[in-house]
Amino acid sequence: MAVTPELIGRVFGPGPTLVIERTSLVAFAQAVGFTHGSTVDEVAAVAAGFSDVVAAPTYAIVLTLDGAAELSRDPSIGLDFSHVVHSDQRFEHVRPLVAGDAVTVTTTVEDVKSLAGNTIVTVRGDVDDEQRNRVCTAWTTLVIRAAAESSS
Amino acid sequence: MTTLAVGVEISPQRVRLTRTDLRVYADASGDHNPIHLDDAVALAVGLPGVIAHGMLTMGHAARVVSDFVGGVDRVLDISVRFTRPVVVPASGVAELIISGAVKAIDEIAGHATLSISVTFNGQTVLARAEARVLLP
Repeated sequence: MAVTPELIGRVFGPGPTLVIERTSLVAFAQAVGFTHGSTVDEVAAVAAGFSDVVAAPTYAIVLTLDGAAELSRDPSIGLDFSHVVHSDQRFEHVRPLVAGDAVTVTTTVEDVKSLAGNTIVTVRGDVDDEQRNRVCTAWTTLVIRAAAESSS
Repeated sequence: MTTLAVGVEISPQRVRLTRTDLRVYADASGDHNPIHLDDAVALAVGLPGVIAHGMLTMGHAARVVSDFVGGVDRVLDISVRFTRPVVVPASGVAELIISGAVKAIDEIAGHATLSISVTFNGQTVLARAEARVLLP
């Protein structure tokens, strides 16, 4: 496994501009159990003072996980996602993401360390709007398990 | 909305996850990792069977917190560590129980910190799970 501490600080992106679709926000919110309110209902969102439906608090993973997956597509890194376990996740919001927002994601490798033969990688995904103002940041920690003899 | 004070608890909420819920989450999130969809793949990587996306568990926890504080836009920061897999049977359900409590209030910053608990089969599946929320 070629994930090394030299990766710390490496930045990917910003990636292409992504326009947040209302249908994507609603589908995600419903998938995590929202049945009413600003995340699934445009009328409720407008009544609450938003311009359109609002993202669920963990929606940004849809935008940032791709940046983490970028690591797996870089042949110089060779992160094998079949041996990856998602161990930690955090989201910090400056403002809620709303349908119609046009955003970019910049991915930074924040930490790489080894523990008991496993490699632990923490990736930060910064989501910025068109004015380059921060909307939210997602931290994803992945554990890349040592090539297993066999675990079953 | 409940008035936030230290010690106030989020009444436990049950979430019953089925394989269909995992497929719906996979489609909605774009995370099609087969360990969440295919028993053969899950077993091959050493899991006891298909497991729920950690992010599905976190998504439900974030919803419960949002409802408790009166809106998704009040959830400023939410973080978890995934410590135990949630195995979802081919037929039937995996039942999560999500609860929480107000741990601290910072009147000056206008924030509260909540602890979050999610259990499955009586065992916790998250550690260090908390949210920082905007006070009303």
